[in-house]
Amino acid sequence: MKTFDYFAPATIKEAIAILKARPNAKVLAGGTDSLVRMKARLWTPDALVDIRNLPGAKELGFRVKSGLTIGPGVTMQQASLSAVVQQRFAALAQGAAFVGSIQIRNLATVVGNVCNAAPSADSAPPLIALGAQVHISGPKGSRTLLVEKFMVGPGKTSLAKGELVTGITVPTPAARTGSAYVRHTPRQAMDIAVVGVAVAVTLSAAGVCRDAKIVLGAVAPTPLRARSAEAILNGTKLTPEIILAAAEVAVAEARPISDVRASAEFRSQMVRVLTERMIVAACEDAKTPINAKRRAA
Amino acid sequence: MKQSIQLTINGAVLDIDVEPRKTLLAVLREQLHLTGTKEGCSTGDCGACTVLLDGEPITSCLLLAVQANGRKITTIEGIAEKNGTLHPVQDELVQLGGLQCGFCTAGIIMSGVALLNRNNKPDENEIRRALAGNLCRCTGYTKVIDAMKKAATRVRTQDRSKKKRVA
Repeated sequence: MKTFDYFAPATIKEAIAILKARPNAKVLAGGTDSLVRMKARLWTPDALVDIRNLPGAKELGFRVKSGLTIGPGVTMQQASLSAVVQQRFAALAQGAAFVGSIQIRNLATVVGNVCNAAPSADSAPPLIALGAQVHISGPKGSRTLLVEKFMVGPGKTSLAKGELVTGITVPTPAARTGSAYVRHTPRQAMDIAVVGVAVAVTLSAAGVCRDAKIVLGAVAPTPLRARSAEAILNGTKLTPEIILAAAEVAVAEARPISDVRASAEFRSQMVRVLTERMIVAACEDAKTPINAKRRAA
Repeated sequence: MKQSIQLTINGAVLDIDVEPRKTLLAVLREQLHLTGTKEGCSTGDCGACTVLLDGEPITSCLLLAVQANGRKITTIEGIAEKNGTLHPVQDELVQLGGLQCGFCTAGIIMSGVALLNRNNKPDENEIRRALAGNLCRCTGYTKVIDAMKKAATRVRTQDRSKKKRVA
């Protein structure tokens, strides 16, 4: 790697000041994407600003009122093993558990995964399905943005020069909400999603779908809401026929490409299969009382 | 410019000056001459460089040494007892032929020891998942998994007798 200066600011204010003084600086979280790029000389920053020492960086907190708070240093391993994430934000726990290996999950962060903005990022479809927001600070102040709007293209976010992400919050899901995420990969570990699908559903006491979110990963330049498919589910009892109809509409909404990992045709087929499965899984999760949910190791 | 950091490596507290661009792996091998930890792919894919950071396995090729400031690191050199008695994971890999060229072995041992530290009764699936980030081109993994199962049994026995002694 080329030489750079390393900063580990203790406050957000300090971090912003460094980013202002060093326009070629990069923000560093877990480093599992950044260091690979720096070794390949794709990135040659003259300074790194490590955000894992910011106050509350490693905190993964939950309050019913404020929801789930994910600090910028919270690792994939923390998110995947957290009891509250598994019970109330199941899709996110599942997405985080798919990433890399244990070694990678102990370094890689949820915030970094979102900022890296890969179309295949495993934490992104779950976060979008659950309505997560990123908190951004910069020279002009702070703002919040839905993760859905934050990722704008492969490797591209809506961060302006000098801004950084200071955390993510996920609102507490309504009662009888369930979620699920799965991805297809040729290998079970150390791989990148060919297709990923996250679904979140909120059911009424009578079992009618009040709200559904379907998010497709790795089939468009960013994770993609399948809004027409969602509309088919809303207000209906989720019968197998309705679920299949929604999955088929999701296929039409996906815009997959052919690449080294799979053909566009294969990806389309997988969107149908995985969307169907995840709607069913999210409904199961929604029907299970929170305290009855078993913790996955 | 070099930065001063403090690392606790295998129990020894070390104050050293490092270049910010040096990975923990590079500092371990080149500056501290702890060459048991290997560099394979250097992109986090192969797991040869696995060490424990505060007890949890990480790929040391993807962590800057400056990022490890103030943390506890365990390398392969810190796994056997001081008198040379091998850890059950090491011993069973030797006994059952769970290694051939040995390049991946240090990393496999670190992942294996970390698994048994948090779960001394893993099933085969848990063993395979714990080692998913360690690639081996020689063994075909079968004997590595066999060794891990036997090592788990031995660690369980050790943990039980430790508990008895404390009681």
